[in-house]
Amino acid sequence: MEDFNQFKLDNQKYLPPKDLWSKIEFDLDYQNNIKPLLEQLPEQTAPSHIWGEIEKNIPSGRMRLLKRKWVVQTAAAIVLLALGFGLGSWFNTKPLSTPGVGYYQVKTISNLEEDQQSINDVLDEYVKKCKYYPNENSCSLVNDFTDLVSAKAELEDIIKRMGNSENIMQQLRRIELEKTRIIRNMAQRIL
Amino acid sequence: MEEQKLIAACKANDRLAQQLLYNRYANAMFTISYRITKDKELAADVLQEAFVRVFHYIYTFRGESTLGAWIKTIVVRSALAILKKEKKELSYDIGEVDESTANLHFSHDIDYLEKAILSLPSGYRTVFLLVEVEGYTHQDVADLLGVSVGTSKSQLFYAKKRLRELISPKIE
Repeated sequence: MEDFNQFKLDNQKYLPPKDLWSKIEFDLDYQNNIKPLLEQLPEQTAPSHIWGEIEKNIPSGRMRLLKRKWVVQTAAAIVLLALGFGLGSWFNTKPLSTPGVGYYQVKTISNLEEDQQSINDVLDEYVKKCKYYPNENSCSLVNDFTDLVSAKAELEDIIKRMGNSENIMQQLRRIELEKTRIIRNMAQRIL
Repeated sequence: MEEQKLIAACKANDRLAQQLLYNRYANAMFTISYRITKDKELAADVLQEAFVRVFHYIYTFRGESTLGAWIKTIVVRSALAILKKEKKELSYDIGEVDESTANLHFSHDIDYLEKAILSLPSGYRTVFLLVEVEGYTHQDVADLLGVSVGTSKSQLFYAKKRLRELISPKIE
Protein backbone atom coordinates (compact mmCIF):
# COMPACT_ATOMS: atom_id res chain seq x y z
CA MET A 1 0.00 0.00 0.00
CA GLU A 2 2.80 2.32 0.93
CA ASP A 3 4.57 1.55 -2.34
CA PHE A 4 1.42 2.22 -4.26
CA ASN A 5 0.94 5.60 -2.58
CA GLN A 6 4.51 6.53 -3.30
CA PHE A 7 4.11 5.49 -6.94
CA LYS A 8 0.93 7.57 -7.23
CA LEU A 9 2.57 10.59 -5.60
CA ASP A 10 5.64 10.44 -7.85
CA ASN A 11 3.57 10.19 -10.96
CA GLN A 12 1.18 12.93 -9.92
CA LYS A 13 4.11 15.25 -9.42
CA TYR A 14 4.93 15.08 -13.11
CA LEU A 15 1.43 15.33 -14.51
CA PRO A 16 1.07 18.38 -16.75
CA PRO A 17 -1.82 20.78 -16.22
CA LYS A 18 -4.85 19.73 -18.18
CA ASP A 19 -5.03 22.95 -20.15
CA LEU A 20 -1.36 23.01 -21.09
CA TRP A 21 -1.89 21.69 -24.59
CA SER A 22 -4.56 24.25 -25.33
CA LYS A 23 -2.17 26.98 -24.20
CA ILE A 24 0.60 25.63 -26.40
CA GLU A 25 -1.81 25.35 -29.30
CA PHE A 26 -2.97 28.88 -28.65
CA ASP A 27 0.60 30.19 -28.64
CA LEU A 28 1.52 28.25 -31.78
CA ASP A 29 -1.56 29.51 -33.48
CA TYR A 30 -0.76 33.07 -32.50
CA GLN A 31 2.91 32.79 -33.48
CA ASN A 32 2.05 31.22 -36.84
CA ASN A 33 -0.99 33.17 -37.86
CA ILE A 34 -1.04 36.54 -36.17
CA LYS A 35 2.51 37.46 -35.19
CA PRO A 36 3.88 37.50 -38.78
CA LEU A 37 1.05 39.78 -39.85
CA LEU A 38 1.84 42.36 -37.17
CA GLU A 39 4.97 43.42 -39.03
CA GLN A 40 2.86 44.16 -42.06
CA LEU A 41 0.36 46.44 -40.35
CA PRO A 42 -0.11 49.55 -42.48
CA GLU A 43 1.60 52.77 -41.52
CA GLN A 44 -0.50 55.88 -41.16
CA THR A 45 0.55 59.15 -42.76
CA ALA A 46 0.93 62.09 -40.41
CA PRO A 47 -1.17 65.14 -41.41
CA SER A 48 0.96 67.68 -43.23
CA HIS A 49 0.03 70.67 -41.04
CA ILE A 50 1.59 69.21 -37.87
CA TRP A 51 5.15 70.37 -38.60
CA GLY A 52 3.95 73.97 -38.85
CA GLU A 53 2.30 73.67 -35.42
CA ILE A 54 5.43 72.11 -33.91
CA GLU A 55 7.62 74.85 -35.40
CA LYS A 56 5.50 77.51 -33.69
CA ASN A 57 6.03 75.85 -30.33
CA ILE A 58 9.77 75.31 -30.32
CA PRO A 59 12.01 78.23 -29.42
CA SER A 60 14.25 79.64 -32.13
CA GLY A 61 18.02 79.26 -31.84
CA ARG A 62 18.38 82.95 -30.95
CA MET A 63 15.80 82.69 -28.15
CA ARG A 64 17.51 79.65 -26.73
CA LEU A 65 20.88 81.43 -26.89
CA LEU A 66 19.39 84.44 -25.12
CA LYS A 67 17.87 82.18 -22.50
CA ARG A 68 21.18 80.44 -22.02
CA LYS A 69 22.98 83.80 -21.85
CA TRP A 70 20.44 85.04 -19.34
CA VAL A 71 20.95 81.94 -17.23
CA VAL A 72 24.74 82.35 -17.32
CA GLN A 73 24.50 86.04 -16.46
CA THR A 74 22.13 85.35 -13.59
CA ALA A 75 24.38 82.60 -12.27
CA ALA A 76 27.42 84.89 -12.50
CA ALA A 77 25.56 87.67 -10.66
CA ILE A 78 24.52 85.25 -7.90
CA VAL A 79 28.10 84.02 -7.52
CA LEU A 80 29.42 87.61 -7.33
CA LEU A 81 26.75 88.58 -4.79
CA ALA A 82 27.51 85.53 -2.69
CA LEU A 83 31.22 86.31 -2.87
CA GLY A 84 30.54 89.92 -1.91
CA PHE A 85 28.39 88.93 1.05
CA GLY A 86 30.90 86.33 2.09
CA LEU A 87 33.82 88.72 2.01
CA GLY A 88 31.75 91.43 3.66
CA SER A 89 30.76 89.24 6.54
CA TRP A 90 34.32 87.96 6.86
CA PHE A 91 35.67 91.52 7.18
CA ASN A 92 32.86 92.49 9.53
CA THR A 93 33.45 89.62 11.88
CA LYS A 94 37.21 90.13 11.90
CA PRO A 95 38.43 92.54 14.63
CA LEU A 96 39.65 95.86 13.27
CA SER A 97 43.11 95.39 14.62
CA THR A 98 43.71 92.10 12.88
CA PRO A 99 43.82 92.88 9.16
CA GLY A 100 47.10 92.57 7.32
CA VAL A 101 47.75 96.27 7.87
CA GLY A 102 47.23 95.82 11.56
CA TYR A 103 49.73 93.03 11.64
CA TYR A 104 52.27 95.28 9.97
CA GLN A 105 51.67 97.92 12.61
CA VAL A 106 51.99 95.49 15.48
CA LYS A 107 55.24 94.29 14.06
CA THR A 108 56.50 97.84 13.77
CA ILE A 109 55.44 98.70 17.27
CA SER A 110 56.96 95.60 18.75
CA ASN A 111 60.27 96.68 17.29
CA LEU A 112 59.96 100.26 18.36
CA GLU A 113 63.37 100.45 19.93
CA GLU A 114 65.14 98.99 16.92
CA ASP A 115 63.04 100.56 14.22
CA GLN A 116 62.86 104.23 15.03
CA GLN A 117 62.71 104.94 11.32
CA SER A 118 59.30 103.23 11.02
CA ILE A 119 57.97 105.32 13.92
CA ASN A 120 59.26 108.46 12.28
CA ASP A 121 57.63 107.45 8.98
CA VAL A 122 54.27 106.94 10.68
CA LEU A 123 54.63 110.26 12.51
CA ASP A 124 55.57 112.12 9.32
CA GLU A 125 52.65 110.66 7.41
CA TYR A 126 50.26 111.43 10.27
CA VAL A 127 51.48 115.00 10.55
CA LYS A 128 51.05 115.47 6.79
CA LYS A 129 47.51 114.18 7.00
CA CYS A 130 46.75 116.54 9.85
CA LYS A 131 48.04 119.35 7.68
CA TYR A 132 45.64 118.50 4.87
CA TYR A 133 42.74 117.71 7.21
CA PRO A 134 43.26 120.14 10.10
CA ASN A 135 39.81 119.53 11.59
CA GLU A 136 40.49 115.92 12.17
CA ASN A 137 40.04 115.21 15.88
CA SER A 138 42.66 112.55 15.89
CA CYS A 139 45.36 115.16 15.21
CA SER A 140 45.54 115.54 18.97
CA LEU A 141 47.52 112.27 18.93
CA VAL A 142 50.59 114.25 17.82
CA ASN A 143 50.45 116.38 20.97
CA ASP A 144 49.87 113.27 23.10
CA PHE A 145 52.84 111.58 21.51
CA THR A 146 55.04 114.69 21.97
CA ASP A 147 54.03 114.84 25.65
CA LEU A 148 55.00 111.22 26.13
CA VAL A 149 58.37 111.75 24.42
CA SER A 150 59.01 114.71 26.76
CA ALA A 151 57.95 112.66 29.80
CA LYS A 152 60.29 109.86 28.82
CA ALA A 153 63.19 112.32 28.35
CA GLU A 154 62.56 113.73 31.86
CA LEU A 155 62.55 110.28 33.42
CA GLU A 156 65.76 109.32 31.63
CA ASP A 157 67.30 112.56 32.96
CA ILE A 158 66.23 111.62 36.52
CA ILE A 159 67.77 108.14 36.13
CA LYS A 160 71.02 109.72 34.98
CA ARG A 161 71.07 112.05 37.97
CA MET A 162 69.61 109.90 40.76
CA GLY A 163 69.98 106.34 39.55
CA ASN A 164 67.52 103.63 38.65
CA SER A 165 64.44 102.68 40.66
CA GLU A 166 61.56 100.23 40.21
CA ASN A 167 59.01 103.04 40.28
CA ILE A 168 60.75 104.96 37.45
CA MET A 169 61.12 101.78 35.37
CA GLN A 170 57.39 101.11 35.72
CA GLN A 171 56.64 104.64 34.53
CA LEU A 172 58.99 104.20 31.57
CA ARG A 173 57.22 100.94 30.62
CA ARG A 174 53.83 102.70 30.83
CA ILE A 175 55.14 105.52 28.63
CA GLU A 176 56.41 103.01 26.08
CA LEU A 177 53.09 101.18 26.06
CA GLU A 178 51.21 104.43 25.62
CA LYS A 179 53.54 105.53 22.82
CA THR A 180 52.94 102.17 21.14
CA ARG A 181 49.18 102.60 21.42
CA ILE A 182 49.36 106.12 19.94
CA ILE A 183 51.61 105.08 17.04
CA ARG A 184 49.24 102.20 16.32
CA ASN A 185 46.30 104.59 16.21
CA MET A 186 48.19 106.93 13.95
CA ALA A 187 49.12 104.14 11.59
CA GLN A 188 45.47 103.06 11.37
CA ARG A 189 44.37 106.55 10.52
CA ILE A 190 46.88 107.23 7.79
CA LEU A 191 45.98 104.09 5.84
CA MET B 1 22.13 62.92 -42.73
CA GLU B 2 23.74 60.45 -40.33
CA GLU B 3 21.73 60.08 -37.11
CA GLN B 4 24.52 61.25 -34.78
CA LYS B 5 25.00 64.40 -36.84
CA LEU B 6 21.27 64.92 -36.97
CA ILE B 7 21.03 64.67 -33.17
CA ALA B 8 23.95 67.09 -32.71
CA ALA B 9 22.36 69.56 -35.11
CA CYS B 10 19.00 69.29 -33.32
CA LYS B 11 20.76 69.90 -30.00
CA ALA B 12 22.22 73.04 -31.57
CA ASN B 13 18.63 73.99 -32.44
CA ASP B 14 19.19 73.78 -36.18
CA ARG B 15 15.68 74.18 -37.61
CA LEU B 16 16.44 72.28 -40.80
CA ALA B 17 17.77 69.31 -38.83
CA GLN B 18 14.69 69.39 -36.60
CA GLN B 19 12.45 69.20 -39.65
CA LEU B 20 14.53 66.38 -41.07
CA LEU B 21 14.22 64.44 -37.82
CA TYR B 22 10.48 65.07 -37.72
CA ASN B 23 10.06 63.88 -41.31
CA ARG B 24 12.06 60.76 -40.54
CA TYR B 25 9.87 59.66 -37.64
CA ALA B 26 6.53 61.42 -38.18
CA ASN B 27 4.59 58.61 -39.87
CA ALA B 28 5.79 55.86 -37.57
CA MET B 29 4.99 57.94 -34.50
CA PHE B 30 1.64 59.05 -35.86
CA THR B 31 0.80 55.40 -36.45
CA ILE B 32 1.61 54.48 -32.84
CA SER B 33 -0.42 57.35 -31.47
CA TYR B 34 -3.34 56.54 -33.75
CA ARG B 35 -3.33 52.90 -32.67
CA ILE B 36 -3.33 53.92 -29.01
CA THR B 37 -5.90 56.72 -29.27
CA LYS B 38 -7.96 55.22 -32.13
CA ASP B 39 -8.68 58.79 -33.19
CA LYS B 40 -6.80 60.62 -35.94
CA GLU B 41 -7.38 64.08 -34.49
CA LEU B 42 -6.15 63.03 -31.08
CA ALA B 43 -3.22 61.26 -32.72
CA ALA B 44 -2.29 64.52 -34.47
CA ASP B 45 -2.39 66.34 -31.12
CA VAL B 46 -0.20 63.63 -29.62
CA LEU B 47 2.32 63.92 -32.43
CA GLN B 48 2.51 67.69 -32.08
CA GLU B 49 2.88 67.62 -28.31
CA ALA B 50 5.40 64.79 -28.41
CA PHE B 51 7.69 66.40 -30.98
CA VAL B 52 7.63 69.74 -29.19
CA ARG B 53 8.86 67.80 -26.13
CA VAL B 54 11.42 65.96 -28.22
CA PHE B 55 12.97 69.24 -29.39
CA HIS B 56 12.80 70.82 -25.95
CA TYR B 57 14.52 67.90 -24.26
CA ILE B 58 16.79 66.53 -26.97
CA TYR B 59 19.76 67.99 -25.10
CA THR B 60 19.11 65.33 -22.44
CA PHE B 61 19.36 62.50 -24.97
CA ARG B 62 22.57 60.60 -24.18
CA GLY B 63 22.27 57.79 -26.70
CA GLU B 64 21.51 55.12 -24.09
CA SER B 65 18.79 53.86 -26.42
CA THR B 66 18.19 54.51 -30.11
CA LEU B 67 16.74 57.87 -30.97
CA GLY B 68 13.65 56.13 -32.39
CA ALA B 69 13.06 54.28 -29.11
CA TRP B 70 13.53 57.51 -27.14
CA ILE B 71 11.04 59.40 -29.32
CA LYS B 72 8.63 56.46 -29.24
CA THR B 73 8.55 56.51 -25.44
CA ILE B 74 7.76 60.22 -25.50
CA VAL B 75 4.98 59.60 -28.03
CA VAL B 76 3.48 56.76 -25.99
CA ARG B 77 3.59 58.83 -22.80
CA SER B 78 2.00 61.77 -24.61
CA ALA B 79 -0.73 59.52 -26.03
CA LEU B 80 -1.53 58.09 -22.63
CA ALA B 81 -1.53 61.58 -21.10
CA ILE B 82 -3.88 62.92 -23.77
CA LEU B 83 -6.22 59.96 -23.30
CA LYS B 84 -6.26 60.70 -19.60
CA LYS B 85 -6.89 64.40 -20.24
CA GLU B 86 -9.73 63.51 -22.59
CA LYS B 87 -11.01 61.30 -19.79
CA LYS B 88 -10.73 58.27 -22.03
CA GLU B 89 -9.54 55.88 -19.36
CA LEU B 90 -8.07 52.61 -20.57
CA SER B 91 -10.73 49.94 -20.46
CA TYR B 92 -9.83 46.44 -19.35
CA ASP B 93 -13.26 44.90 -19.82
CA ILE B 94 -12.84 42.04 -22.26
CA GLY B 95 -16.58 41.89 -22.80
CA GLU B 96 -16.47 45.38 -24.17
CA VAL B 97 -15.72 44.84 -27.82
CA ASP B 98 -16.11 47.35 -30.58
CA GLU B 99 -19.22 46.51 -32.57
CA SER B 100 -17.47 47.26 -35.83
CA THR B 101 -15.78 43.86 -35.57
CA ALA B 102 -19.14 42.16 -35.76
CA ASN B 103 -19.34 43.26 -39.34
CA LEU B 104 -15.81 42.27 -40.17
CA HIS B 105 -15.46 39.76 -42.94
CA PHE B 106 -12.37 37.70 -43.13
CA SER B 107 -9.89 38.79 -45.60
CA HIS B 108 -6.24 38.02 -45.99
CA ASP B 109 -5.97 41.71 -46.20
CA ILE B 110 -3.91 42.99 -43.33
CA ASP B 111 -6.44 45.75 -42.78
CA TYR B 112 -8.66 43.17 -41.14
CA LEU B 113 -6.08 42.49 -38.47
CA GLU B 114 -5.65 46.17 -37.81
CA LYS B 115 -9.40 46.60 -37.44
CA ALA B 116 -9.46 43.65 -35.08
CA ILE B 117 -6.67 45.15 -32.97
CA LEU B 118 -8.41 48.52 -32.90
CA SER B 119 -11.60 46.80 -31.78
CA LEU B 120 -9.95 45.55 -28.59
CA PRO B 121 -10.78 47.34 -25.33
CA SER B 122 -8.33 50.23 -24.95
CA GLY B 123 -6.33 48.77 -22.06
CA TYR B 124 -5.78 45.42 -23.78
CA ARG B 125 -5.10 47.15 -27.07
CA THR B 126 -2.44 49.36 -25.52
CA VAL B 127 -0.65 46.48 -23.82
CA PHE B 128 -0.88 44.36 -26.96
CA LEU B 129 0.49 47.14 -29.16
CA LEU B 130 3.32 48.01 -26.81
CA VAL B 131 4.49 44.43 -26.27
CA GLU B 132 3.70 42.67 -29.52
CA VAL B 133 4.00 45.45 -32.07
CA GLU B 134 6.44 47.90 -30.51
CA GLY B 135 8.58 45.37 -28.67
CA TYR B 136 8.38 46.75 -25.13
CA THR B 137 8.97 44.39 -22.21
CA HIS B 138 6.27 43.79 -19.60
CA GLN B 139 8.38 45.78 -17.16
CA ASP B 140 8.44 48.75 -19.57
CA VAL B 141 4.68 48.50 -20.02
CA ALA B 142 4.13 48.27 -16.29
CA ASP B 143 6.19 51.44 -15.81
CA LEU B 144 4.45 53.29 -18.62
CA LEU B 145 0.92 52.39 -17.59
CA GLY B 146 1.46 52.31 -13.86
CA VAL B 147 0.31 48.69 -13.51
CA SER B 148 2.06 45.57 -12.26
CA VAL B 149 4.03 43.23 -14.52
CA GLY B 150 1.45 40.53 -13.77
CA THR B 151 -1.38 42.78 -14.90
CA SER B 152 0.48 43.57 -18.11
CA LYS B 153 0.95 39.85 -18.79
CA SER B 154 -2.66 38.97 -18.12
CA GLN B 155 -3.91 41.81 -20.28
CA LEU B 156 -1.72 40.62 -23.11
CA PHE B 157 -3.08 37.10 -22.73
CA TYR B 158 -6.69 38.29 -22.96
CA ALA B 159 -5.85 40.54 -25.90
CA LYS B 160 -4.34 37.62 -27.80
CA LYS B 161 -7.28 35.41 -26.89
CA ARG B 162 -9.74 37.94 -28.18
CA LEU B 163 -7.77 38.45 -31.38
CA ARG B 164 -7.72 34.70 -31.93
CA GLU B 165 -11.47 34.56 -31.49
CA LEU B 166 -11.85 37.27 -34.06
CA ILE B 167 -9.41 35.86 -36.54
CA SER B 168 -8.90 32.10 -36.06
CA PRO B 169 -12.18 30.85 -37.51
CA LYS B 170 -11.29 32.71 -40.61
CA ILE B 171 -7.68 31.66 -40.88
CA GLU B 172 -7.44 28.21 -42.27
